[in-house]
Amino acid sequence: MRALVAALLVTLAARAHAGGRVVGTVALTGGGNAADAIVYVVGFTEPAPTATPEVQQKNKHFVPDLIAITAGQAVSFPNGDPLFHNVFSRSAARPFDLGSYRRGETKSKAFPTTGVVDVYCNIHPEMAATILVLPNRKYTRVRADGTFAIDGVPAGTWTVFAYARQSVRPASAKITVVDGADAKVALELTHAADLAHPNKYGEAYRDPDKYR
Amino acid sequence: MRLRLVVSAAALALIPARAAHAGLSRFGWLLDTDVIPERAVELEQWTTEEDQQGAANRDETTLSWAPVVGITDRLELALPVEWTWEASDTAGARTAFTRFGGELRWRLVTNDPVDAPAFAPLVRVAVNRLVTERDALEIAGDVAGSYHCGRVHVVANAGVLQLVQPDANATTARGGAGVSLGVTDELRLGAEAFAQLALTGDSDESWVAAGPNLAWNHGRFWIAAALPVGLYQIRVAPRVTWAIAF
Repeated sequence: MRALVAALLVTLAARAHAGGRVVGTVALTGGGNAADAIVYVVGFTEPAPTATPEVQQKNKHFVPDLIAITAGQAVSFPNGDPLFHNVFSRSAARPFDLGSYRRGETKSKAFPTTGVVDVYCNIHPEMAATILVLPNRKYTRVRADGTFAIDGVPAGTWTVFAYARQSVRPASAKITVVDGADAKVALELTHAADLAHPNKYGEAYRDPDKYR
Repeated sequence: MRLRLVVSAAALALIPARAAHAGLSRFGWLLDTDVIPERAVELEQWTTEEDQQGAANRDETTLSWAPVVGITDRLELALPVEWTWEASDTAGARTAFTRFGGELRWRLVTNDPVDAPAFAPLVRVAVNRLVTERDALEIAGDVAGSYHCGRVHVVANAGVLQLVQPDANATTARGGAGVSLGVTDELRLGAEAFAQLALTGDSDESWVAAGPNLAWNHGRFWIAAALPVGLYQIRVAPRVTWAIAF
């Protein structure tokens, strides 16, 4: 019995040290809030969780407007506005068109492959969101002070990315993760993206001043 | 494997956008299997010619307009109205408002561009009032099956058209098959064959034709045309269909 308990403790201790932690900072130059960014690690795959995150349609905005999921997960898009919305994406990673639906209705879509999926409403140009479909579950939103921490990253050399909707491009760095240790990284994003986007037919909206 | 993941992640923000899926057709005469999304609205027009059809050398040009509404993501309703000009060796030329009605097109599998299976079946049921024949009704039922693989899209149709009239019912079988190859993301070329065979009633109405087709889509607009040449009881049967979504 004592041997069994000892073996269990050893196993738990080993698990506690399985993988390392990626910590660091994200700076946004050119304005913006670091908490608008998501940091993720790529180079290995993990199974998708069973949860279905929500991107709500509220006051003619998507809330949240940036989420990360694991390839294979679905996202639901409930309409909480007293208006019709038409959620769609022209992104090559996952094109779709949910059609128009009213308040109280929810439609969902599965995202089987990795990529960046920009989501819009065909009726309201101010509605824009991005779904990062990632190969694993090692992602987190950056804190308001610009710091972040991702636990349980397997040992190895990976690439860490920071992504914000309004940045020109993602920032990235190579990291080497060691079991039980912190791998530190500092990333910098430039906040100046052109947010103009076409409607689902590839045309400009009638009131493009509302792009965001 | 690891390299591929890193490369794909690095390219995340650089993936080009492509056109959204629409309820387009790729064939002139054949029924295709795409439908428009829920609550979407599209205006379709068919223009059809049948030249020197049958022993009486009947010439006919038909123009049809139909608003199409997406009832669900798999079911759409079309409300066509049709005008016809016709002339033959045995009757003078006439132009008439010939029919109006309703048409349901039910795609039996998802229309999602990622989740849709390669094979997609569709059922169409149509009921039309014949305006110039006051006591007649036309009921049609068709099934279509399409197979999509890369740039190749193949479709086959079979259906029945029943004319319901107190003193002269007539049944016509119709169907065909075709292939459409994507030349670019917007342009397709192919060929199709179409036949309609009178099972009861006037056998002079039967005809068979086959020929090339062309389809082009851009944004909210698509057009499909075919130029079948007559193989039996018709000289040529061109047909153009176009639609614009709102």
